[in-house]
Amino acid sequence: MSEQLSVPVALQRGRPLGWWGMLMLVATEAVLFGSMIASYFYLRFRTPQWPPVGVPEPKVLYPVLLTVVLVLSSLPAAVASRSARRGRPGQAAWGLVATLALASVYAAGTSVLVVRAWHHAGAQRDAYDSLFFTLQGAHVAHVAVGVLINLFLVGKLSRGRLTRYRANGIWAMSLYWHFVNVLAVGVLLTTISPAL
Amino acid sequence: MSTVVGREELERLELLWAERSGLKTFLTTCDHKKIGTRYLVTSFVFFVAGGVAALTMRTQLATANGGIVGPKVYNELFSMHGVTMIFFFVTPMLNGFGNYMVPLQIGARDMAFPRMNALSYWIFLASGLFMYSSFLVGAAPDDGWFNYTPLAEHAFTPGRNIDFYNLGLLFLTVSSTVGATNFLVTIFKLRAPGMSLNRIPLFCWGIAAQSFSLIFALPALSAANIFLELERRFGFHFFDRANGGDALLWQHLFWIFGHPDVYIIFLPAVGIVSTIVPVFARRSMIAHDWLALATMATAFIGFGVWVHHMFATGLSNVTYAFYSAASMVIVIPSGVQIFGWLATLLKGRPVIRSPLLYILGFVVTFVIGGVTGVMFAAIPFDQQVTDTYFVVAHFHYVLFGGAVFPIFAAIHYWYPKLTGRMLDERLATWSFWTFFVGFNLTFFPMHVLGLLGEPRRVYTYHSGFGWGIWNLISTIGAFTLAAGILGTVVNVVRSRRAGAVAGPDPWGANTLEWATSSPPPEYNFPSIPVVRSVDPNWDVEDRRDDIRRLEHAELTLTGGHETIGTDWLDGNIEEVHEGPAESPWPLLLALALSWFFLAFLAGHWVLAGIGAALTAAAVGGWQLKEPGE
Amino acid sequence: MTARTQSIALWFGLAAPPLAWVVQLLAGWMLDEARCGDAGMRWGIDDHLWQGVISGCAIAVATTGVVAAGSMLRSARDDARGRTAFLARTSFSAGVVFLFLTILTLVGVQTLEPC
Repeated sequence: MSEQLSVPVALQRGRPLGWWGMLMLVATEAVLFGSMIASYFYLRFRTPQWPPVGVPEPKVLYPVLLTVVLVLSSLPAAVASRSARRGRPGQAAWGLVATLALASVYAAGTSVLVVRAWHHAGAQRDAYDSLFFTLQGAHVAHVAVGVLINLFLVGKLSRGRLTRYRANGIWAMSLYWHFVNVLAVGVLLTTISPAL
Repeated sequence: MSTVVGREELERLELLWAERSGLKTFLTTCDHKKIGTRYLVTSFVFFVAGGVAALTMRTQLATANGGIVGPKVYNELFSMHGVTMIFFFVTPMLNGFGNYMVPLQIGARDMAFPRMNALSYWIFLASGLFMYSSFLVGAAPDDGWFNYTPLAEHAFTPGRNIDFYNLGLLFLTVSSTVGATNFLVTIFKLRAPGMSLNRIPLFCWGIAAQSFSLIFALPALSAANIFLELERRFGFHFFDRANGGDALLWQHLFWIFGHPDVYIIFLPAVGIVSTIVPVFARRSMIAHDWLALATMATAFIGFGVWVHHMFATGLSNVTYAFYSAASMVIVIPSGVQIFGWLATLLKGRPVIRSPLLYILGFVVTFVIGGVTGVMFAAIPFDQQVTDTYFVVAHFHYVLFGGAVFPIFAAIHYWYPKLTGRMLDERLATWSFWTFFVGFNLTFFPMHVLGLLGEPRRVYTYHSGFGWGIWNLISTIGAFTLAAGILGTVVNVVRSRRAGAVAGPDPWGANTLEWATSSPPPEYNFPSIPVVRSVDPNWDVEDRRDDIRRLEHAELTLTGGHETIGTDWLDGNIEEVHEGPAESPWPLLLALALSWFFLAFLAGHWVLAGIGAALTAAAVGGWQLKEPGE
Repeated sequence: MTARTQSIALWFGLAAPPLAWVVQLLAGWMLDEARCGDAGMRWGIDDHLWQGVISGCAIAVATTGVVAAGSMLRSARDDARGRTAFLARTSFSAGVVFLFLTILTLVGVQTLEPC
């Protein structure tokens, strides 16, 4: 027993507590989106005409392209995380910037598509539209929050050192980005499903 | 304390962890013990508020054609009674005990995220005040605690009532999610060295099961609340058939949360039962492993039974089959728990004190409620008694029995640890019997009323149905029950000064919270305890080793606000965690969120936008001070 | 069994039966919703056939999990703090209950008429 009790000088670390906290947040948000996606199919099974009469089928090309751009951001996010843990602030910062740049392209592009769709006919027409806008809106909001947090982290790195606390934060954020990207695929497949 | 080294370590710990009393500390503390106590007191105030609503309803229903309140107020009363009891009393009360006891039982110095802990309390308080402010504007939620559509839609309830409901619950969800995350990371990563998975105390298993359930169940409720609010405010469509929606969608989403919610309430409560039984049976819990399994299995299967709340909605029989099967099988782990407790009591030498009285009350009451519950799993019977007082009787027996009795047991069991004083046993015994008799007088007649056909949620009834006598008995019972509760309140208040001094371990208990003083010092333990069994406080040699370690400055962690991190399976030391001391940001963030929700409720979008910006700023401010700075 | 196989058996035994039941419930319910919904009625879904397939897979996976957990019951004795034996025992018992649940569900689903 005794060799396990003395706190060793070079500590063997598991993942930081903040990473586990982020995992719980990811789990709960995943179920939130799961509930919304399930609601989409629940209503779809009940509605013979889906999309309803007069509502065009969803666009496929631009959403797919934008989603690919977003999913690519997992690479710089992973790079940022690994660099941060290895004590390389410059690389980590560039990884953060690349991630938020790709995510911003997705957010901007999707927002343009969504606003155009809104002007065509808002969410108030039918449950089909309501679910479309809610799913897209919720997802873009998650991307936007991620971009803000990445900006904040970049700001911190540019003004100070890469501490272990900040490295843990970047590690936790990379998990967030992987989650947002997987979610993007789920939301995409759901919203374009009538065209498949 | 015998050695100089030991004394110096204690001085260092006192210095590192001391919190001065005063307003600033009150608003900025992140100490789990203070926050736990706040949860307990605040929840109890909500209990009284919900109880007043109940007594008003019982007075109204005591006789036919009652004239105390009209239908509009009555609807608000039963709705807020349900919302209060479930969201603002039982769950936070159990979390209060969790907050105080979990770090102590696992041998830690605080929770994994102390500032988040403070945040979850402030948001709980803010969301409760938000919800109750609806009474001030005469628009309290009035569509029942489960708020079914279509009645909850704007066309049928145009007032702000349901907006209070949706936004209040979304607000509270932030608190519950943060709290659940905190408990899970704490229980799995901050345990004492040697506390492997199979040595985790059963109360901590209960809190862990609750927390997992919250993480996976709350989002369904949030989705429902978001959908309904979008529909009510912005004309979206989710629940109205005419525009492609479905009213049953609300019921599905709500009950996907709602059924796990009963386990969110039940599992920590039975964790309390599992804590108290071995102590008063004077022996280790028989089948500890099985009870831990039963706790997690119940939570898990609990996610697959929700449609049993919808057996009368005309769904396909094949759909019903899935949920009927699971509803029957979920009885198995609960049965295992009951037999575990009974076996431990029978094979031990039980000592009857007030905590055990409430536990015995729980067993009787919960079993009765469980029996009527299994009756509901049979669809033909369910369809006969649905929406009658039979259902009201059932869930009060399981909820009151399964949660309130254990809460009162916990009050009597842990009061010495929180205050350093013992409660008065005679008054406690009298209060218990008044409580127990009052409870049964209130709710047993409701079985009869349900079988005689009295529907739920009616604000009055005509004479001639034969319901009057049973309602009158029930009302007399309600006031008796209130008297029993009042007795406990008097006991709690008086014993702070007048109670006998408790010492560290008045009950001779087996878990670690009793291995330190009553109340514990700010840093909980002078040296982090090392655990070698499932009943660590009964391992006298190990507890003497803790003192020896203090005297050699081992595992005292005097480098800062520190606690030990171990791996989740074996309890081997991984690292030392440094935590924050006091911080104003939890309160500021809670205030910013309150701004946002109030603005949204009132429909001031610019103000709501400012609230969102303030929230973001508070999150940024939170990150300004990093550990080690 | 090597240590690695033991580890896989342990975790598979713990996770597989409950997850098999979850998939049976969610997929089976979704199938029934599709079969009985106004839209799905026209898609020609053979409910009994596909429910049988889903349940069959679930029962197979659950059984494998129970066997895996069962295989760990004897090998798990050498753990100093007892946590492997704890996991093996609890996984096995939980697995048996979930296996029973999947079978009970199959009985209900096959004997009742959809919609």
